[in-house]
Amino acid sequence: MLPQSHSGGKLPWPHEGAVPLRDPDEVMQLERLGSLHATRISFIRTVMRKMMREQWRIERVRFDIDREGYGTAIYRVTTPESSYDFVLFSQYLDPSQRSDRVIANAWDCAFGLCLGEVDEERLEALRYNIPRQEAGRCDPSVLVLSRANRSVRNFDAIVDALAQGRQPDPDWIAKVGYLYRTTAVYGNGKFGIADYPKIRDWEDFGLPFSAQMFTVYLLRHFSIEQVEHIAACRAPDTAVPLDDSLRRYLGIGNSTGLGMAPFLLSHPMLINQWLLMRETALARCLAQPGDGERSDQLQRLIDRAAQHTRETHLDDERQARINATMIEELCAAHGWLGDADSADAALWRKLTEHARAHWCLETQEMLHALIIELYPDEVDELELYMGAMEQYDLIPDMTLDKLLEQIRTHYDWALRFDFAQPDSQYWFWYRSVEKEEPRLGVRAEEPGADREMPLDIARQVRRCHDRLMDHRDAHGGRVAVVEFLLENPDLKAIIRRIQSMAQTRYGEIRANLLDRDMLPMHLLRCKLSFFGASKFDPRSDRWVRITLFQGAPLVEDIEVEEGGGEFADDWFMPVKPEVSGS
Amino acid sequence: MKVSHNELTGLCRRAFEGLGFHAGDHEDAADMVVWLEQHGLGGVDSLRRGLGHLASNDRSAMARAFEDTSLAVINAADNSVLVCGSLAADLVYAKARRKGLAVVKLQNCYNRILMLGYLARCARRGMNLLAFWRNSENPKVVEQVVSIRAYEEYPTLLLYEVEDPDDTFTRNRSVTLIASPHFSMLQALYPDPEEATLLQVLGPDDFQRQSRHVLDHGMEVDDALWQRLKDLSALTLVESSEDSRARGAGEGSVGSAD
Repeated sequence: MLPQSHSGGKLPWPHEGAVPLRDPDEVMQLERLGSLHATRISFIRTVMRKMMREQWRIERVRFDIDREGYGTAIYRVTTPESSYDFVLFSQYLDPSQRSDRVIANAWDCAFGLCLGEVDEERLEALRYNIPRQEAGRCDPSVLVLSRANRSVRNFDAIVDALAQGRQPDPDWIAKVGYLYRTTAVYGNGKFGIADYPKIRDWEDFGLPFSAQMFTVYLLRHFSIEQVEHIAACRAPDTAVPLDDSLRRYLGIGNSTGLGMAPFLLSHPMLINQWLLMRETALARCLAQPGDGERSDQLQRLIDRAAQHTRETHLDDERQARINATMIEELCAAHGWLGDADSADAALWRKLTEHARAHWCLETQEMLHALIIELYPDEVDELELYMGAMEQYDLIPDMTLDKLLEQIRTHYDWALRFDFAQPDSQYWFWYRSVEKEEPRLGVRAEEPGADREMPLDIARQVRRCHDRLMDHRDAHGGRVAVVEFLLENPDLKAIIRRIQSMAQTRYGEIRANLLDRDMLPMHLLRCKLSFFGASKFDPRSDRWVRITLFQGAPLVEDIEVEEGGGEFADDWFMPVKPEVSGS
Repeated sequence: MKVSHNELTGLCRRAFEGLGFHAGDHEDAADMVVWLEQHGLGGVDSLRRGLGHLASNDRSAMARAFEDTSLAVINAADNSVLVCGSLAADLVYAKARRKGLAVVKLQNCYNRILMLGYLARCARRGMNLLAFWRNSENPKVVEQVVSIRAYEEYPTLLLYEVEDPDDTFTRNRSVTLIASPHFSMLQALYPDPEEATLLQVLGPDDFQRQSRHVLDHGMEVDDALWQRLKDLSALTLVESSEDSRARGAGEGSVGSAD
């Protein structure tokens, strides 16, 4: 049984250690959140450890895939708790229809993770509904619904190479480290599938996004089997299977747009919990004394991270510049460690303080992620505390004085913005009639600002504060919040949020999301880092491609581990393998 | 059609937003509907019956008819408790916190059973609550009494049949809320047979069992209502243009085909 998520102060927080947690004013700045990297407690790491530890069995029970790769595949998953079928439909997609946008209507493949074994009758219902995605209807026996598009150039190049009896060029895979790119991975009740509360208490998928991430892992497995199958069909006499090191080097891509951004604003309790656990992990690790063995390990990790970054190919100039800087600074960090006393009790703290003073945000956060790698015993248990209940309760008897004090203490950052400046309200966020796709509009130029989404937390706080001050001046500070709300009912949501979030540390992103200089990419990057994403490849200021599970163990590796040694869990920041015969 | 808890919640929120409910109110109203449906008491049906009226009524006409430190009477002006119920519950909560016991009577409202979900939310904040109202089901009157103890998740709902010509011929449209952080009031399982007959008891176990069933099987919503909610929800969406399609979501200059 999983521990219940920390919420409402009812459960003990995991201990933080001797080093204090970082100030939310530092951690919750948008640009820093947009510089985060995956850590040991990112969701794909957690689910991978669980698979390995519990020896999940993954068997192919159906592979009706034709020579072009189209058809139906089912993989059966057996865990100590239950069994599931991963059902995938692969189909021909006209290239003109291939789009990563949510407004797309067809994909190269569509798939779902289902509870229990799928019989023929159920399969026919899934065959009708899963490929339709948003236009279909599933039932609560389906836990995850998703779709993906081929990376066509990569897919074709790898099939060609295998069919010709040679391994694909690792340089090619370094450029695009996957065969498929998911464009949405739906959970929590979408289109009739199981609500998260149904599975929240399950041992297998109780942790946030674990069912979704596991489904992506199974797509990766299918994608490898699919290219080998097509190559073998095309050239039965010459085709070869992929080299294991290249198989591991293949992950799954994901293409994400603005749709991810509202989630961060509408789930501040969950975001608080994710950041709190990450910061707790960092604080625990920074409190450990330095030692030679770990200093060497950190240098190796730094080198690997630098190489991984060198092998990240980008078109985006801003990110390319940052990556180049980070590579230089990681080399400097390697040197700093070489010069430092590895037995220094405050070695890690000194390194991070040096980084904070001299190096860019991405380097700082990369070093934090790498230091967290050093202490699995201090960190890994925190993965069990990554969930939170998104509950907000009004405290109607709170006085206006107390509420104003909470705003000044916990939302002082919001009061710093000057909303009289036109650029401070340059953007508005809205949902389009086209599949409710979230979009950004320019307030002064585009229609729809009257229907903007309430992502303007700072502006709402400012409005609330000013009206509270007026009311207090007229009626006194002892007035109860509910009395104020009877005359100002439009402020209920923001007051409830302030009262709830004042009890947390890291829930609110400290930025004005309407400001002209706001970069939406930071929001996407923050969430994706908790998923475990690597190789952030911005395609614009509000659209990013990433890679998941690159370097992760294969399904075959899970079986190999049986009865073997302990899983090393050291696939973080993979680098291009050396392969003969490519 | 079968829908999930999350789908129904999300659509109801946006539909209420489309109806002009304030932020906060549209969330509370949606949660009240879904809570009732999730626990087998017909939240969706209550919404269906009240939706037309909800769309047309003047929500600003509500007024406090009387108030002192521990008692208030609110004229809901023929509004649904989806509009006024949550603040009425918050008011009785706040008064009880300050004075130990409070009563709020909400007059001239409908959809009263939808209060249950919000009362459960108040209870988890450490308040004992009781709600009382009567439905005129000519020729009989059905009295509904809900109690929930502080920090408990589920209430107990008892239905009694009573005789009261006043409430039979003049529809009773009020609900009375009683709150105290110090003590709870429980319904009588064995009422005086000359005054009332116990019709039904729904206890915390019944609510919990029904909730589990819904998570396993989904909730049934008729297609017409679902479409009506979608239409209301669409009022919150912004029309698309070539420009907004190209730039608004920012796929960038590099397409998806590579």
